[in-house]
Amino acid sequence: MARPIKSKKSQSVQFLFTLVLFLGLVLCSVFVITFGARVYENVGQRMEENFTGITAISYVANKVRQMDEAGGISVYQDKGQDILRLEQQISGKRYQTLIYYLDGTIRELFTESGAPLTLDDGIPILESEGIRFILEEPGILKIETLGDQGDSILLAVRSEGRPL
Amino acid sequence: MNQRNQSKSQLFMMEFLIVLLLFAVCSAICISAFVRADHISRDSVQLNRALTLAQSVAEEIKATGLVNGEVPTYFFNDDFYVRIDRVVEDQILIADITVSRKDDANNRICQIQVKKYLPEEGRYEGND
Repeated sequence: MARPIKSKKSQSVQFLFTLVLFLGLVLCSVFVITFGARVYENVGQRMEENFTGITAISYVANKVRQMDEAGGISVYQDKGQDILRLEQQISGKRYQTLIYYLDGTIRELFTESGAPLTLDDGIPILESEGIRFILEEPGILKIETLGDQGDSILLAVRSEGRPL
Repeated sequence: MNQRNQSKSQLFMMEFLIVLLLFAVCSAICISAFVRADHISRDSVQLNRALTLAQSVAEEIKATGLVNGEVPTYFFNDDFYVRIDRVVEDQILIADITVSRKDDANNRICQIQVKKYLPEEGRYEGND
């Protein structure tokens, strides 16, 4: 008669052990999934930081390098915003590219000099918290993106640039 | 009947342990992949920032043609240690810009070289 009691006891111990193992498996799975999700989130966040910090700067830097000709680069302010003006001559006519920040986006306006287009007519390039252009010394232009993920770069301007 | 039940339960336990073992191996692989991904993403952010900094220093050297004293040979910012090695050869200023971690100067993140033609090479008074 003692045998079935022992067997019942060992059965329940076995069941408990299995249950504990199963619980361990569930906990481990949850841990792995949470860990993976957190890493994925961090990677995404860092990519976003990289994008917002570097893309705007690289875009403007390339534009400046492209149009770096004598007297072609100037910085001025309008409505409290820094505006970078890049001038160029195409088929005898003067054209200007304005790069500036307006309504949460960095915008670009390409127009013939003197055309009645306003800053509102610029094409939004990418979302940002703001951008500043500073002619630090003759020949050095500092481009700075604002916000938590903001970054800055110095550019050697061969045309020496000029504040207006 | 009892014995049959016991062997069944032992079989179940064996199966369960094998599943656990497999799970442990898979999770170890996954966790190491996650950790690697995290490291790569950190390194990529750091490399990007270090490159931007190195480019800025390079542009400053290109703009001003700094030869003596105006740019320190090394400097720190919040996160990085920047070392500038300059030499003039045949009227060409060659500057090697090395960016390392601030806490570990030997751990190089990136290095770029900038060259600038110096017509007035005579002004140069040696490397610092």
